[in-house]
Amino acid sequence: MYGTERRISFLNGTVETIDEQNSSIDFAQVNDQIDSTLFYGTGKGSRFEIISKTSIIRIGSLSFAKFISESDVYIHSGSFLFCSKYKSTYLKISSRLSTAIFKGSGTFIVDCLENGGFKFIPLECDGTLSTDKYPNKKLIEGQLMLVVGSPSYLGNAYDIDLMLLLQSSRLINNFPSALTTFDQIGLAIYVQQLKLKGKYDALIGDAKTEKTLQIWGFGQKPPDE
Amino acid sequence: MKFLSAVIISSILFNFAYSQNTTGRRLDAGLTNSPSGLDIATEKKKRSDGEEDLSESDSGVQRPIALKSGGFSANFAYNSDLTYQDNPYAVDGGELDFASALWTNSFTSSFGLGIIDMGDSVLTPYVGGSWTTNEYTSAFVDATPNQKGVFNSQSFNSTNAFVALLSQYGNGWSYSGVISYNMTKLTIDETEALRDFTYTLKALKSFSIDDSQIIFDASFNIHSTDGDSQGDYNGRDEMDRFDIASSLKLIREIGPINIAPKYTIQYSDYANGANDDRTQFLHNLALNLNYQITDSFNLEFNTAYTINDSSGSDDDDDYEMFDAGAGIKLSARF
Repeated sequence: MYGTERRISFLNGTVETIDEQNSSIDFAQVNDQIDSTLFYGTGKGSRFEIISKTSIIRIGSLSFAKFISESDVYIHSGSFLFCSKYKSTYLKISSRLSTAIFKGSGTFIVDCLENGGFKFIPLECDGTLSTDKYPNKKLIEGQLMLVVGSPSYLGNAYDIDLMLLLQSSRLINNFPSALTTFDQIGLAIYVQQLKLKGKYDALIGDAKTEKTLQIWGFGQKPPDE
Repeated sequence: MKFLSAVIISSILFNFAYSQNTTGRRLDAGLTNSPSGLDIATEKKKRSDGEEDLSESDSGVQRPIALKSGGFSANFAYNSDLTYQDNPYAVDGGELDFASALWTNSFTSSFGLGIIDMGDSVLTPYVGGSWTTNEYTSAFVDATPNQKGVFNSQSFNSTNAFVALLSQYGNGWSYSGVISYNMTKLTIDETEALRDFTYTLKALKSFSIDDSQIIFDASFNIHSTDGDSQGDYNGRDEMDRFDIASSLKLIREIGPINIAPKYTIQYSDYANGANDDRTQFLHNLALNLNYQITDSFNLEFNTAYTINDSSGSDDDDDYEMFDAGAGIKLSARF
């Protein structure tokens, strides 16, 4: 079944399409329609963008995903950005282990974790995220949440520096066109700056298990005791 | 939209004139500036944590931060500046046309009363005020004993209180409405020289070009004044006027220093008494250099050149003045 309204609007590097049924591999091109039966895999440094009537999806480097429908995405590894201005957007996000449902409008990044779950990072949102154990969690702009486990539940949440994230994210900066929600992202950053109390000298990393999360410290090394 | 972190420091330069004979005191000279409390509440801090060398990734760097639970904020600042002024009393020749230094100490506070998300914009109300001492001195200048006497008689304190409502849109435009109360009092005899209620509407837009930030603003101000009847003006409300002003400012980081040249043009139209037919165009070209030593401590250098071209009044209200000075700023934000 072809997604007649979704097509690849931008592609950089190598994007392979894999048919599970007959184990065939092909290469995706710009303007290709998205096939809901195929897996799409990006090589190192390769990225592509899918546009539809209601949304934009940007897939990052070293990602492996399937776009089952306009409202259903499976991501095995890597990361993607989703952007929609439509207030009634519905998107089911599934990773190797966990599932969550986004409702509302907004722009967010999904980043897969080693434990089979994923990070959900709303850049600007007016909506909710539902997991198996926690329905309709109101999203807070700039607050990273972990979606882990099966049945899925929400792990810890962390407010993160939105401006730094935007400056360093290739899903934002390595695409030729600006996101349609950039004005809203700008407001989210403005509000965060108004409320800012301080920044931790740390960076959030991966999660190898459901209970542990890597947090890398930086700055001056404390003196040996 | 690109966002640059930058320090925006606003220098308040008040220039006043006093004549010992018949011309009285000029209390309306200079630009109509926004309240210093509003400036410290809305200034953006320079990035001080070495983020220039960013390692990129697809999902971006995720650095945890601490946020306030509510939208209330408090800002405090202390400024001390010493400024050379070649025409501190804003005259066009005559016996008051001599240079002076002005030592300014200012204590400023402002409070953000909340953050109101309107969907396509964010509203932030503020209240605040400041108290400033302005002392004319003979630092940097060779002053005669008579001139030193004028310095003493012209030193003044000024008090400001304001309420403001800011609206920030995602496209970079912001709009503000401010009601500001300013009171000037001479220190020599504690007489109140001027009360000025200023009502302001302002629009502001910032742009990023390369590594620079450009800020354009346009404002409309109405001054409702109550001045010293012994001074320049026979009526207490002869300084009532409206201003239309616009400015263009460039902010660029060069190493640890922010450099900000700014050009302002202001048109004023007076309403009452001897100033009934008076209009003037004021041009101000200013340069601010700011060095942020820590998040709370800044050194700054300011210089400005002002030309006032007036017409329609009995007195000669044209003047030119040059100012240059340096100062420190201590600030805290909660």
